[in-house]
Amino acid sequence: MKKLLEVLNLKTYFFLEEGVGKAVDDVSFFINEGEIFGLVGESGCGKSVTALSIMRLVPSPGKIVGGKIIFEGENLLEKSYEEMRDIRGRKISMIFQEPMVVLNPVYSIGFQIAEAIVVHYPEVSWDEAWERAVYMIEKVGIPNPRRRAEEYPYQMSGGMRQRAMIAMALINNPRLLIADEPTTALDVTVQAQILELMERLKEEYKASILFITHDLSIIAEISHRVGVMYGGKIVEVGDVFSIFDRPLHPYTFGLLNSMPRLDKEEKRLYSIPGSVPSLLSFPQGCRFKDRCDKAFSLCDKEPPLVEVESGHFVQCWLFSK
Amino acid sequence: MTAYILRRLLILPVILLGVTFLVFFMMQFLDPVQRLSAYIKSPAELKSLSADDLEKLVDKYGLNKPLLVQYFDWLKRVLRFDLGWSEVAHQPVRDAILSRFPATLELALFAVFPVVWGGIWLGIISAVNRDKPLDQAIRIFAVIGWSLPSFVFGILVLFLLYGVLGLFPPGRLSLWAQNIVSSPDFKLYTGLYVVDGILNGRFDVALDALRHLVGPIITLSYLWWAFILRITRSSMLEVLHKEYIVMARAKGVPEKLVIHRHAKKNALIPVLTVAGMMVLGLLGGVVITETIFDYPGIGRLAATAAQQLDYPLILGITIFYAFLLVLGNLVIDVLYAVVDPRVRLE
Repeated sequence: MKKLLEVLNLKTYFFLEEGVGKAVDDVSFFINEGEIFGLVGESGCGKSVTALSIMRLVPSPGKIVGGKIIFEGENLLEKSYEEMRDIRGRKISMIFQEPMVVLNPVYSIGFQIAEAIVVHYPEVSWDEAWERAVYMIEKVGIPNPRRRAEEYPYQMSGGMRQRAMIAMALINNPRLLIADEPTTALDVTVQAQILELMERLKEEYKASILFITHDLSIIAEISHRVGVMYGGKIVEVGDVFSIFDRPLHPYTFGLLNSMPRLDKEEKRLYSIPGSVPSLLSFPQGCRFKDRCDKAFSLCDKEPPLVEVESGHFVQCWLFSK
Repeated sequence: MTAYILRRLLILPVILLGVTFLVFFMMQFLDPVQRLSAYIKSPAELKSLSADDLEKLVDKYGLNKPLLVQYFDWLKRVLRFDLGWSEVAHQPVRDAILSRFPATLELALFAVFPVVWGGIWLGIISAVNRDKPLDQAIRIFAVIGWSLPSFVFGILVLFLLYGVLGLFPPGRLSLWAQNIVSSPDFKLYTGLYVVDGILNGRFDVALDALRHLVGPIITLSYLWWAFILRITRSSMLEVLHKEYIVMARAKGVPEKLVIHRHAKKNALIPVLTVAGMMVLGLLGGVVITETIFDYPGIGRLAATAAQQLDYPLILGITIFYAFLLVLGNLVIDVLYAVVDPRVRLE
């Protein structure tokens, strides 16, 4: 399998008045062609900043301070503004969590989708772009596409808007789709529909997906490989079966245990003690040690990422010899 | 959209009824003789009258009838724009207002673009370059304009442009141009001298009228920029943090379009109200600026009327302002609907 995207030692820091927040600190992972890679973690762990770093859209005062992002063999961090603009929306697309606020309220859905074509292919006439937008709106399962294209975001339901956003993201047939919590704001039934739609379109358009979520059940359902993020680091990465069957890192373990299950009777759902430390006050060494029930003396030093079985990496002293 | 405008037009008479009633109600604070002055058609009617005859006039115009009857009688006169005789202007109030309005309108038309568009433009540049030297410079520049009283800055402009450079004189026309305009050959199509000058083929007159507009326009622009700039800037900064802006960038929209297409249209919605009020302010006449530049518009007329306690004229101008405000608000509401699709269906 060929790697489509490889993130190497990515560091994205936020330079705040109170200090430097290491939102993404030395993160490495890769995504194969045609693969769905799930990135999972609690809110504030750096998932979204990782995604925005790949797009090179980290908001100020955030800055990418180190690492490489290799996409189709080229380092995105060395691209000029114009080269990067050309990649955004054409080769790498992104869909966001809140379909309510992500679509521009004063332009019609059709306009916003057609615009995504025209900014990359100026030779395409507006009428043709509009036709393609209508076609795509139909494709993502919105009934009455010709009329819907003329409507404004506020006239649509959340599920419809998310479909419209998927249409917008896929219109230029991108190689990589970054989906940042795409179903979090939706009802569970709509969630299932959107997931199914994404999987189907991924097959049809032969794209890879970086799927970011805090919901392990979604990850289990759709992804091939999984990265678990905590405190700006990827603490465990592997294929979906080894992560779910043989979780190694105490954090992954805790996450899986805090999922409600039908096959085990529990009085009370497990929860990981404590909460994610703030960006500015990560502990020295392993960042999870304060919440970890297996922490010991070595944890004051930063653990290395080790390969425990083929393709299954973990960053924890329990597994380093 | 048409339905929206129609609905707005249907409310219009109700608002106007309310506004006129308010003016009429305020009139009741005057004594009947003072009120009488708003009814009579010429000063001759009042002169050499004894107290007895005054009673007759009060009777004649029904000023002792029930309030509601008086109101509707008066409303009929207002609708005919029959507002009494102005002692200050030595002509009927209607003629006094109508003869000054073209001057104010001309100034307003030429000032709107630099004032509103200039302020918005500065606001956007400021927001896009937030906290950079350019932003700081623009803001300092604008705050100075905002803090300067208009009579100080106006006189400064007059002094520099006319006194020192001799380029842009006060008034509305030079004497020679005034003579041409007053001559029977010169046809007044619109009352706007720039336009009429061009229509009459007298480009020298049009140019002269334009030269007289420069001073007031510079004064108004500088004084009002800060206001519109600040609203544009903060609105723009807020919009630039919205997720649909990130989305637009993520889709590969060039930065220029992100700002001028995706951000600007949203940011201008709150600016619209302020800009609309400014246009209304310009149309209602700008008292101090008109006075400094000796510009014969409505603003100066209103100031004189107030100084001389010319009740009919004050009332007439009040009603004129009220109508202007109501109509202006209607236009602003329609513009809202044009910019923001969410307004249309409410």
